[in-house]
Amino acid sequence: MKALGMERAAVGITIVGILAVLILPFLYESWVSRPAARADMRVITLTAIAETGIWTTEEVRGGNYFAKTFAPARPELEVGESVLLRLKSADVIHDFYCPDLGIEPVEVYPGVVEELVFTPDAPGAFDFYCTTVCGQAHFRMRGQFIVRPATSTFEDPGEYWLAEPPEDPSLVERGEWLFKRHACFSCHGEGGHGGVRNANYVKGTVPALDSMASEASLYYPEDIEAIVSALEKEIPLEDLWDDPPVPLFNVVLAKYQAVRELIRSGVPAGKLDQEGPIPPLVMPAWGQVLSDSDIDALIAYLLTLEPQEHVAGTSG
Amino acid sequence: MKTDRNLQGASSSGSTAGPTPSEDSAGGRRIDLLRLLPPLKWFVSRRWFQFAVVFPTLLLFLLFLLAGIFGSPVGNRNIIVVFVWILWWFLLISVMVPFASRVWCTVCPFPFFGEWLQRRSLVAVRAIDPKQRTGEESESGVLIGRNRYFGLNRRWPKALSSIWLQNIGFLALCTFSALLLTRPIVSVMILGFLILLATVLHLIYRHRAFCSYVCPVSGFLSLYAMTSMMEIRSADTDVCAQCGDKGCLAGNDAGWGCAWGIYPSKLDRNNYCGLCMECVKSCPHDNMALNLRPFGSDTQLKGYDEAWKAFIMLALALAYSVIFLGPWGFLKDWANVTESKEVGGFLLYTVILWAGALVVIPGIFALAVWIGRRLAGPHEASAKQVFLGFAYPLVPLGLLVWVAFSLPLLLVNGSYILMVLSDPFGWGWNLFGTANVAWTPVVPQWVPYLQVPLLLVGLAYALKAGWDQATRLFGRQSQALKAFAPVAVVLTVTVLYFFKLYTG
Repeated sequence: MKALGMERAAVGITIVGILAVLILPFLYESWVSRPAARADMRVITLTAIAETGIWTTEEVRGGNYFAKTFAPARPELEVGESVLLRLKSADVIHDFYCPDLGIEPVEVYPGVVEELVFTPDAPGAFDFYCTTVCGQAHFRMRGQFIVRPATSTFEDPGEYWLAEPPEDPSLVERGEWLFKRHACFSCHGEGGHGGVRNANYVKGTVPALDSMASEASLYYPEDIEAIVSALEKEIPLEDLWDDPPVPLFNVVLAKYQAVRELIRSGVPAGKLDQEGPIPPLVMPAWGQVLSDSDIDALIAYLLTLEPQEHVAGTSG
Repeated sequence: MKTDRNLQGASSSGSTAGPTPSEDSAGGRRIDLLRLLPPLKWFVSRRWFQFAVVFPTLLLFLLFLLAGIFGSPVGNRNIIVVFVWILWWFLLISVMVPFASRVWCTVCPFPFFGEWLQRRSLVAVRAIDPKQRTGEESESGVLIGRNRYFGLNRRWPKALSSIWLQNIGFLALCTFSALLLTRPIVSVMILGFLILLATVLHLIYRHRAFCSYVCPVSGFLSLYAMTSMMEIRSADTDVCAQCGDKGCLAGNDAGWGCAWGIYPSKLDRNNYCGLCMECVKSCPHDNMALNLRPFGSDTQLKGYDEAWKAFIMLALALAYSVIFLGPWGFLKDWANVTESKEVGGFLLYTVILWAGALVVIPGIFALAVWIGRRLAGPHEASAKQVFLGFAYPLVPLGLLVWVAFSLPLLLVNGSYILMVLSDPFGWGWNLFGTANVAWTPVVPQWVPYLQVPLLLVGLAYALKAGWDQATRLFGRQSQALKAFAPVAVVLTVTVLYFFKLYTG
């Protein structure tokens, strides 16, 4: 009888113990570990995923991270509503930044939940960003809070890092591919036409790149062609100083050298309001990613871009 | 005739001829902990002992699985990766095996459900008195010895009665080590599969077939437990010889027959004893001893499967040291295929690893043995005896190499243990206030100074063990010296290469 009693006790302990392990973590998570959540607050959890470059409101777990395609978040809020924002990272260190809603950059470490509270006081579409280069899909890593009513200006560029290189490309074609592969368009706009807003940036929007030829005093197609041809033949433009292939070569060379250095080393974005937030979009230093010949290809491509047509007298 | 090493002394006819203790079990001083520490004896003699030590591990194991599925996908923020592959591995290889033999098998949760089903009990023992059989007992379960078991209880295939399956399984598992270390869900799949497999095999085959022949962890535990400072043995083999009950093997009212199929009187090595302590309970003469003994007391490898396990372990230690501690980043990319996507590199890495472990290192070793035998001149020992004898030094050496490799893993990554202790799922908890401790490597500058002495101790043990084997096999010292010299060179060069890897 004693043995039977002991056996029953062991079975009971086993069942209770297993159930406790299976249930308690979830109870603790629901009831105890979220003290900041209050009934009058809207709780939004954003999890950053570096591999696909998104913030998502879906739950990211060890069991689904490698199998599921998560939807990018576009939370909709109401003016005046208190929001508890919980920020998580599923993989590497990210940096959450939403300047228009007054949210300063928040470092988000994997396994650590960062919580902050804010209240949107005006309708609109408010871009948020990851401001730490977190992986190859980083430049896609933006989203928007939509505070009703609002319209969206950000379009998901898709998986640009998977863009296939062209076969046997010319220098300009390679530059075009690099422009897409490294998501230059995400800040400088499709075709380098610009227009991408950069909060508190001195120029308002990220500079367009479609007028580089004229800025370098290359006004004629044959002049552009001459410079592109020299770059294609891997002739350092500095070597052409004694026998310039185009007029105003000193301007061309200076512009070329300035752009090359800018791409290599990057540059911070100047503030419009010195007391205001840091502009989220900066020119990264690409020197560790792009070779000199890659940079020449990009410059060759940029020289071939043309600004969008504008008919005088229709804009006003 | 090939015999099943796990059924040491337990032939199919049940014959248990007189005790023949080996020189291993007889040599060296022993201190019986069960006599020395009465509370320990009381504890291990309880019917509920095994349940009491396995059940907490089972709950932890389930928590780990849960964390792997529902917790953070980040390896160093998930308890399953940090506790299993950093803490557990270090404790296993550096503490449990050298000091307490296969004590991990005592608490291992893998066979919990399988053994529960097989015995239909967690604590109680089902036994019948053979003198009072009525015939009714045979209606439920299969009678083995005096215990009745549920399930098919088939005999494990003779052809697989070795640790070859464990060798291959462990090598396969280790091929994907980079995934195991970085992706919690992969650990869930592996550990979940093993517990499922253990359960199924318990229902098909008798006793602990999974533990004896399949479990990849059990394979290397069996090898390195030879060095351990603890053993279970019969206290007096004469008592065993005169015992008519043989409850340790056949089971009785007090305990189940040995789940590892071992007759303790013939037990002369630690390799295949899982320290479940059933024999302590079932022995009617209180004749089991849990001995403390000198390090490296078991000195005989008994088959090529065991020798190859030693080669595989050495090859893996070498490969991991090169990949994880070496300066060659591209090798890390090859091993970590899911991050780097370098499938070609991973295939090349796999081929090199498997060829190195199964062919190249054994080949170099066999060449050294062959040269040694030629140098020694005419002798009585067979090629197999010499090969296995000289392979033994790889056991203490391999263990110390693994300790040296594992030490920086713990010292460098130890702070992750504190983090996941407070936040096991990576959900942002802070149970004990340690969730946000900064990652702080512990005395990283001292690591080489700790590794070098460990390697030197390993080499010293290996050379001493090899010399003992040589004198045992060849008799004359001059002949023994010539025979062992090439193997000693291989052992020394191997350790010197580890020196170079660890000290830069």
